[in-house]
Amino acid sequence: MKEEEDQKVMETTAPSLSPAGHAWREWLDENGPRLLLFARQQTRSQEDAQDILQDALVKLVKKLEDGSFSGGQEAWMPYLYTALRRLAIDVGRRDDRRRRREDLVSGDSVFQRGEVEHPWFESDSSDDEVRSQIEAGLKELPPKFAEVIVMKIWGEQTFAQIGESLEISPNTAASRYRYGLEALKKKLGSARRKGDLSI
Amino acid sequence: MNEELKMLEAELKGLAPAVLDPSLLDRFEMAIQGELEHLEPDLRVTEQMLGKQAPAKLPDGLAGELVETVRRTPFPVDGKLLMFPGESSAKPATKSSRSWMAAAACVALAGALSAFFISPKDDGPTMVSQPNKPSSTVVNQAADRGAFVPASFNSGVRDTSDLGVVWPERSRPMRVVKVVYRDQVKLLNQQGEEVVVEVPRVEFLVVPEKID
Repeated sequence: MKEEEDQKVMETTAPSLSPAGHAWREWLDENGPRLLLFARQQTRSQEDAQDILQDALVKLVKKLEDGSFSGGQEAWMPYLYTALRRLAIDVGRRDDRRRRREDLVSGDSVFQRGEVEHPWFESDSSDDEVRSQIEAGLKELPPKFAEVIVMKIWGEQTFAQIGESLEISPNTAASRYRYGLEALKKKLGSARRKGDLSI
Repeated sequence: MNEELKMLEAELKGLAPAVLDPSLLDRFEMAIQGELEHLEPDLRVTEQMLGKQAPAKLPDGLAGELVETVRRTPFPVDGKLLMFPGESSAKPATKSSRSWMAAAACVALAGALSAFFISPKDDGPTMVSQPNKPSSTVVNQAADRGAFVPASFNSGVRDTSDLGVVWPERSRPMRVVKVVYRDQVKLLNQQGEEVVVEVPRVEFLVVPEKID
């Protein structure tokens, strides 16, 4: 039912897309969720994640339009992951500077924006518990482990591509992936023992 | 160096670096042997469990904004072809109080087109062979009922525009020209009323560009 509603929204919002528009739409339907997941892992809010995703996409199309993009379509995702990471770092620094200024002015603790929860994963009622535990586990992981896991499992990047995007060696990427999986396994295992997880 | 610094140096030399953690040693060994990417079964189970989770879909508002951001950029297909942005050649359906005439015109158009290809005589060559003559029969029956029948058909170039030069990957530059045709069918009924059906058609011509 939701897919039919989504389809109707697509048709009403883009009734006369050109062939290029339709191709872009299909590409975004397939790859947008995994890119947004990475952006979400890299930033502190859904809004920041959406902003950097849009900015990264703009960077890509600019390079495509002026012919400066090196590589074919298979190089888009690695480029976008790299761009998302750099944009997230910039956003994080900007937020830190703003919060330091707010602390100086108000003298109070950092203002926390009220945030509506946006799940990282599609929820299926039978697996909702697993989904929320995995999401919580990923959020608790050191970011350098979580980002490799997100890029490897949902971004389907190789360790070589991950290494290039994160400016680390493929071996370091593989190591962080193992550490991250082991840490997640422990967290999910303890959740199962506590009875929080029925798997 | 004075005595204080010499004593400090001696103390520091007396300290030994901590022994490497066994798990770290294991990791180094696996890295040297190229086995870091091979996961143990329990980690594979964790990996598979994570892989079953699908990332949340893009919110509708964001999806629309992203499409708007990129839709004017040509989309490469296999590195050789480019899908071009621009208006769709298919015009949206418009409501008309004479929709029954448009429907009849479409049927008559199909008959007219096949009538152009079918010889009226049994002898002589035909461009398209037909097992029977349904199209001319349909046209005659339609005329008998007072419906619209095709009277003439023509096609002409309406507009051309040079979209510039593109450089497909690993290929020579190509000039792209957009040609808009106007196909027109004129239909008449026995009362002499006339309906003109125009269908725009867009073609993109890709021509190798002359280079030095």
